[in-house]
Amino acid sequence: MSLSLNLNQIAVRVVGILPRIPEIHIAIPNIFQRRTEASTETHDPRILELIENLQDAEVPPFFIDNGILKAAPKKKVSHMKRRQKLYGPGKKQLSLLQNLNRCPACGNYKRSHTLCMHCVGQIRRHWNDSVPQQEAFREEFVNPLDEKILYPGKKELPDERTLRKKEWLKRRPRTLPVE
Amino acid sequence: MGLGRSVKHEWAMLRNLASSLIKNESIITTKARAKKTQALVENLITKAKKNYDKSLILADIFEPNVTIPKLYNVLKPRYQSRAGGYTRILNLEPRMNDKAPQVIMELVDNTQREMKLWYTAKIVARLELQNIAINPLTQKNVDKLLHNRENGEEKFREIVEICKKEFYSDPKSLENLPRMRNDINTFKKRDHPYKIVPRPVKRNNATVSTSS
Ligand SMILES: [Zn+2]
Repeated sequence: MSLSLNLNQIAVRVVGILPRIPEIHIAIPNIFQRRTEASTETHDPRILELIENLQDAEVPPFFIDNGILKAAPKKKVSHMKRRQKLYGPGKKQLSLLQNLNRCPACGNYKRSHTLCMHCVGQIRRHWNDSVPQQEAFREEFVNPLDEKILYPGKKELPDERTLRKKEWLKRRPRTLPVE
Repeated sequence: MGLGRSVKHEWAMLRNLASSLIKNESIITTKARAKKTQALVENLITKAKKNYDKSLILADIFEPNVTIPKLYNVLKPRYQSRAGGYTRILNLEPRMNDKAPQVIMELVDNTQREMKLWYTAKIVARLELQNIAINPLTQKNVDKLLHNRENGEEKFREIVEICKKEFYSDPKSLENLPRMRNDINTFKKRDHPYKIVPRPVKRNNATVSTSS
């Protein structure tokens, strides 16, 4: 609509001298539409008024659904009600663990029918350490100057060090000792 | 289709898991995957025990240069006296990231990387260092672990000594004495007097007839 308006303005500016041709609107009646008196009676009077206005007016009005509202919540949900709905039910809350045992190997709590993760981690670390690992290949230089030129000393930045240590990883906390 | 992937993808994954289990003796996966690979691995070992042609096994395994010799030379003699049950699944805590139920899957009687054996050895080491008598449940577990193993007693003693040295060198780790009712790991259960009757060992006269 705005585009057509602009075009009109441009046309007026360019050929302002020429007389303006009036726009023609012809309402073509729909043949298939059945119009009975009974159906019109059931309509809201505001709708009938709107239809009349639409037929008479040259340009359709901007607010088409004047005075008629669509389905929408009547009021904003309050803070209390929202929190009651989201966090109130017992299903959504954290529940206490009832299936707890004492780990016979370290004396701390563990889940029943599972292994204690601390002891498992200790054993696995021992396995991995006991495997003989190949030493990383390192070049040997006769002249130490060559090494300095080829591989100038690289400083490790503090944020790089934290990345290497993997401090950003979430670790499993150790369970409490059984009283 | 299982485990959220197409048939080919799932089959490839199971083959991968099975071959890495045969290679490394123990793996950590989720519970559903472990249950599915268990059947595959047990089937492979029974095929090896029955001296199947190696071309029949090739379809179910990756890295055949490593895994097939291990199946025929190491696992076949090891499980000669067993009729099934070559693998074991131990529950772990759920994974940190997505809370998937994790599991240790291992080959029975491997000694090198057998978590159940090492865990019980750790328990025995702790009890010995604290001068507490071994409770009947632990004794039962030890007997079950050792009765089908070659030189089981010696190897178990070795592991116990390693555990004493590695894990209990700090005296703080031994401060926590068992204060359970009846000296058992659970809180409310009563201690049942277990009667241990080991199965008869048939290692000496175990010669499976081979048809080749
Ligand atoms: Zn523990």
